[in-house]
Amino acid sequence: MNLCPACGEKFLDDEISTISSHFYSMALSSDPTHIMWLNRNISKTKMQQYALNDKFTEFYDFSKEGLSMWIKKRFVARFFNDDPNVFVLDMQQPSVYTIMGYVTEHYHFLKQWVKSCAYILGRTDFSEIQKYEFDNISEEYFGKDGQPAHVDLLLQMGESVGLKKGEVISSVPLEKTVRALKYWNHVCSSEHWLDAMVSIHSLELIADKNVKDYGAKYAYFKPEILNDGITKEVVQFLKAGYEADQYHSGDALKLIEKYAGQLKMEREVQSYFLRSMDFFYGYLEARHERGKMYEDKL
Amino acid sequence: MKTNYEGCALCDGTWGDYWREIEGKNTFFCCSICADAFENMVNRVKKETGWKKIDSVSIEGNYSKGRDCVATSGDKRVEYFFRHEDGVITEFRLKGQGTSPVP
Repeated sequence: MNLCPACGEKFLDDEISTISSHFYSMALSSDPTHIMWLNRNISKTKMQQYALNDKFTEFYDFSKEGLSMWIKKRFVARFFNDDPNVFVLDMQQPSVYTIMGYVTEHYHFLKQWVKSCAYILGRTDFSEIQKYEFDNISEEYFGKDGQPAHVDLLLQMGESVGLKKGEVISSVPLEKTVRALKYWNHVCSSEHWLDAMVSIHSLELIADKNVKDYGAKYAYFKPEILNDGITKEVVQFLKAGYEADQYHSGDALKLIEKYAGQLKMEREVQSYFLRSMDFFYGYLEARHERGKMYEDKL
Repeated sequence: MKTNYEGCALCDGTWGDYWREIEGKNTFFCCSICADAFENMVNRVKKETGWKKIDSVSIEGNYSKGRDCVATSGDKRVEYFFRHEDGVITEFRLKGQGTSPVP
């Protein structure tokens, strides 16, 4: 099985030629979703079907460095390249409004995150996956090693920049956030647990401090902010993510690579990762948009 | 109307085969979203400048960075910046005249 990373259409086989011919015919009919995906990931220049097939073969090839590194490099190319996501740019010099936008949208993300982890836990029989997800859920809601729960750290960060906890909890997420949360809820509740796992845990790469080793031009934020942040609560939240997400995503990617190989699901996992990354891109834009809304209002 | 790209008038991509008449010229776009964005941008320039027609548009940039442009009409010239979302203009700024966010 495989799916189109642009539109989510499912294919019965995982041949590259199936994906590439699907893209080719959609591009011939001037479909915006597929053309934008081709422009971003393959080439802006139209080519013959056989040449497009070769490009897709090259794009999906992880034989040199392994699946885990392929995911890391694709993620970096999407979020930390010369033309990074707008929220990554915001985070290079975050304002109070950047933090406010971050807190409000991320609160909704974290609520879905716990549900997603719980779906995976409930839908796999592999105990090491269950333990991994249990650890994730526990850290989000109960904290770890004497640290407050991740969600509490987030709300405290908001309060430290003047954002009331009640306002965050009662807020309605922006459209791009809603779209992304619906997608992750669907994947985690209905698709194979491994597709769910790669869809959500690959996203923790956003705060991986080693992204520059995978070709990133930017990091999520400048480490100096941990010594001289806007407030101590901002530092505490970012530090927790900085220290946790690195091993979270690293450990998850190792598990994903192991089980994708065992279950012969590598290509399917790659496509689910690519599709999830696009929803995450929009979700980060929503954080930026929310920050601009606070800036205009206050 | 002259444009600076050989491919799609907005993004320079050469996929797709979507045509729309803009300022009296049948213009190539890769898809309907690029055509909407371009047409809305042209209308916005005309509204902001009061020009009846536009002779040329030159674009640099992309979706995430936004686009820096130069438009001409006769001997008149204007520089501006814009962003779009699904073809709808979300930010438009005449250079040197402040931001004019779309409500």
